[in-house]
Amino acid sequence: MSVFIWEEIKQASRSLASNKVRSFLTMLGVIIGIFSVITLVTIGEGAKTYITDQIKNLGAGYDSFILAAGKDQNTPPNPKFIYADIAYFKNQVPEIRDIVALNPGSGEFAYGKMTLKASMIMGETANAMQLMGGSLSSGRFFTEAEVEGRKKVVVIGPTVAKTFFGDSSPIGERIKIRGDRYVIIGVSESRGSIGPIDMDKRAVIPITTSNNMMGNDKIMRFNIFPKDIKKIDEVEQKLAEVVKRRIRSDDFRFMTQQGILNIVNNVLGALTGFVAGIAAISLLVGGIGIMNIMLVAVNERVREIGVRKAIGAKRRDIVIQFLVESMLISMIGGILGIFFGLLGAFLIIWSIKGTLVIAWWAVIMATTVSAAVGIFFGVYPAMRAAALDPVEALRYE
Amino acid sequence: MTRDGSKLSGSSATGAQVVVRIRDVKRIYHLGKVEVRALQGINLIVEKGEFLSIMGPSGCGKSTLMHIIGCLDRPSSGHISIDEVDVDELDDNRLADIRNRKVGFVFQTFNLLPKLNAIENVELPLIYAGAGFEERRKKASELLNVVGLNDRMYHRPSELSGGQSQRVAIARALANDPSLILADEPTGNLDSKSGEEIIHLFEELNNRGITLIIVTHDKDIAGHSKRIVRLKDGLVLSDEKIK
Ligand SMILES: Nc1ncnc2c1ncn2[C@@H]1O[C@H](COP(=O)(O)OP(=O)(O)O)[C@@H](O)[C@H]1O
Ligand SMILES: [Mg+2]
Repeated sequence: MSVFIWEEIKQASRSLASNKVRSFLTMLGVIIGIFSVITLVTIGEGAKTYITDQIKNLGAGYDSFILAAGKDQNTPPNPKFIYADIAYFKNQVPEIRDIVALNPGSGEFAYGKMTLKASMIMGETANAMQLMGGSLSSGRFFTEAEVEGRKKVVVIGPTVAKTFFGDSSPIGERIKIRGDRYVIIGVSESRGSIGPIDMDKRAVIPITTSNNMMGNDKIMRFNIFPKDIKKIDEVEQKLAEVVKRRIRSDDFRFMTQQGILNIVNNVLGALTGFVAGIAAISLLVGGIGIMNIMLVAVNERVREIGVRKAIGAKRRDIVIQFLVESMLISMIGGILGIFFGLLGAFLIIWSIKGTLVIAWWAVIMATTVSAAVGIFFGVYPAMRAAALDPVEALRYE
Repeated sequence: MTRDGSKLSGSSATGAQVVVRIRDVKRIYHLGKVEVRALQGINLIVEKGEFLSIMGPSGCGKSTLMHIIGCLDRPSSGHISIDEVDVDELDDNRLADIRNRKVGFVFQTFNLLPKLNAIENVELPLIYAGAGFEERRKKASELLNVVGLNDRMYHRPSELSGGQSQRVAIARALANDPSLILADEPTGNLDSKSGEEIIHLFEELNNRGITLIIVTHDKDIAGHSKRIVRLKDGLVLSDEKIK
């Protein structure tokens, strides 16, 4: 039987190869269907990785959630949080273990005549590094006393250190950040880029100092660490009430890694549904095309079928012969679709500097689906071929 | 002399092994409301080693009879056995097996598969019989040797002359060592020289003990066989041993 199947595959490929243009056109529906699904799924997986990275970049792992100013991401926030809120929230919601406050900003760094333009400046609380990961290659992080005292101390990223100081130690040196002098107390370990943000080209200063720098006392964001991460919803609810009372507004929002991923998944899900619909239609059209061309092939080969039957082919043999052929058309189409889909996704992801994540489940599914399309739409022509009467078939001109 | 299979049972009059036994076979085609009685009650016994020619005017039922003997078609009534197996009782799959192993069909128009080369065409019945590659290749090349085409094994049918094509077809018919070769006007599409060569090949095969039934219009061709059965209007008109 296996010998037989191999023989069938050999003969089917020959018959497809002898009609290259026709075979290719027949495959087109399957190619387009599989192509669109693979492109979308691959970009989707890439987007998920990208967004997860970004959330990690915000410092919200699975052990914390974010309290941010602004009702949603699209309206410019008008933050009403202040540094003293940290103590207040912890006091009002004892289920909170710790709170990190963060103020992102940007500006120019300078050392002597050298400058680094448009670099990231993070205002953070003293507990930030310990709670949100990251480590130092030299020096130390700032202390709570330094935060309270609004000291001009800075922890710089390795790129900043390298740019300004080469291989010599920057600890104790002074650099200018947005025109003010800061003492370098630490250099962070290289973390590369998370999403589009270069983590190595940053300066981290006490959050109070960053308030001074910006000329206000507002805080953009807190990372809340509950004592029991399983009670994250409960803590969120309780905190929401406290925050509402405190700032007399509901101009704030919570974000959890899972919550953001859920939103992303919902959007991707809707998009996937849409593209799956298109893919299903093109697979259907492709399948009907295959059925059509297989019926033509059966008609062209009536005599051949007669000969094969005359020399001993059973119904089953003829069915297999035509099924192998339709499956081969469809699977080659599927493989081409996978190839071009991955290529397309790669080009798009590469252009936005993302990382290509191949969704193997989608590749395997696409292969299976294209084989199934070939079999499903090949059955009718194959049955017709097998049902031919040998004498009639041999008489056929 | 007329042989009447219905009166004989077990073995033939001569006691030789019976390859084909046909008893009162009728074949009626229905064309709308019109009935075409292609065969009206044929009785025939063919023994092992015979070389039989079927002759008769066009439309007398020669091809219909060949198709029934070759298990490509079933009689409307009557009985037929090949190697004493009642083939009219077999299902389609078993019939396909008989076609594959017991009979080899040679057609007027050769009916080689154009995309396969000579040796692959000969291998085809062996593939359906489930033979492995090595076995197939060996057998097919032996057979192409027998029909004198050892230098044309890898040629496509389009690169072969009519006579050569028919030799390939004969090699294919011999692939599974059948009990019987059936040839329906095998020289009908050939020039007389090639026809002569084919009939000599048949004689040679018959000398090796292969049972042959051929349909022909050509008296000279028929003259090479050992027995001539004439049909008329779906009935056996005469049946004579000439050698
Ligand atoms: N499929 C068919 N349908 C109807 N009539 C047929 C069919 N096949 C053969 N016949 C008729 O049966 C008769 C015998 O045909 P055939 O066996 O081909 O004759 P021969 O081979 O002796 O020329 C003819 O009258 C022919 O027209
Ligand atoms: Mg005829």
